[in-house]
Amino acid sequence: MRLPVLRRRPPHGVLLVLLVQVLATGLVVGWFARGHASAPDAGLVQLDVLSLSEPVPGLEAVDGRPTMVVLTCPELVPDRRTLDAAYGLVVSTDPALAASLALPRAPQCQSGYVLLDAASHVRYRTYDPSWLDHAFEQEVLLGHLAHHG
Amino acid sequence: MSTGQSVRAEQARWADQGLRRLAVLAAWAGLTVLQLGVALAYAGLGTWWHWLLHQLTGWGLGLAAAALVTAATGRRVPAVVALLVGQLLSIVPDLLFRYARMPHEPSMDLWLGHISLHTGPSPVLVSLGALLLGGWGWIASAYGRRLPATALGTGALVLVTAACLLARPVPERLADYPTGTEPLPGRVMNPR
Repeated sequence: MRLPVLRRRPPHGVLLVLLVQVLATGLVVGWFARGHASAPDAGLVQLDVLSLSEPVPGLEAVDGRPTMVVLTCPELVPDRRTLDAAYGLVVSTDPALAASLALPRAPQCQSGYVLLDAASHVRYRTYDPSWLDHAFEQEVLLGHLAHHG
Repeated sequence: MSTGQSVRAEQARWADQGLRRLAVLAAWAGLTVLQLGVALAYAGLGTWWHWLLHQLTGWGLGLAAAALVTAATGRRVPAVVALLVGQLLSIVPDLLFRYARMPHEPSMDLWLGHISLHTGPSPVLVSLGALLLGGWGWIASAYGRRLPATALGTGALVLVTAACLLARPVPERLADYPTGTEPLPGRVMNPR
C-alpha cells in the first residue's frame, strides 16, 4: 500500500533538493571516513588571512623582498622551485624554528610555511603538506604584501 | 483546417517541444559541468575542505531563505535559483581571491560567515546541518506547509549564526595558534 503523498508527483525541485542533500551527505561521510578532522588544524589551514604582524628573532626577508619560509623535514626538502623568482624562498628543517613559528609538526614531515613582508615581520602561517602545488595561492598573498605591505 | 495543415501543425508542435527539451537538457548539463569545475578548482588548490564548508552552507542558507520567503509571501522560489544564489554569495571571497588577487579578511564574514565558519564548532557538521535544515524547509514550503518551513528555515539560519558567534577569532600572534592540533592530512609529497 502506498502513502497518498507518494501517489502524487512531488512539487518541482523536490527531487533536486533531495539529490543535493544525499550527495552532500555522502561527501561529508567520505571526508570523515578518510580520517579527516571536522576542523583541520583548528580550522586555520590555508585560511588566506594576513592576520599577523610579528618579528621573529633570526628570521629575515631575503633581499628585503616578501619571502616564504617553508618548514619541513629533511626527506621533503625540494630540489626545485615553484614560487615566482620575485619573492624570496627559504626552506628550513630546524625544529626550534618550526616550534617558534607555531608549526611544531613540520619536522615530522607535516610541512607548513610562514610569509614575511619586506620588513621581515611574519604576516601569515599555515600548514600545507602540498605547498609545492600551491604557488598561485602563495603568490597572491606575497603579491599583496609587496604592494600593500 | 485541412488534413495537410493539421499534420504540419502537429509536426511544428513536436519540433518546438523537442527543442525546448534539448535546451533544458543543455542547461542542466552546463550547470553540472560548472559545478564539477568549481569543485575541481577547490580540490586543485588543496582546499577541498573549504569547498565542503562554503558550498554546503551556501546551498543550505539559499534554500532556507527561499523557504522563509515562500512561507511569508506565498511566492515560490525555484530550488535551483535558491541553490545558485546561496552558493554564489558564499564563495564571493574565494572569487575575489582567485580573480582579483585579494587575500581574505575577517570582514568577509558578511558573505555567509566565510571566515568564522572555519574556526567555529564542528564546521563540516554545521555546514551539513544547514543544508539538511534548509533543504527540508524548502521542501516543506513546496508542499505549502508554512509552519515547518519557517521553523526549519529559521533553524538553518540560527545554526550558522550561532556557529559564527561561537567561533574563535583568527590569531593575531603566533602564540595564539593552537599547537596540539592535527593538520590537514593531505597528500605528502616527496619531491625527490
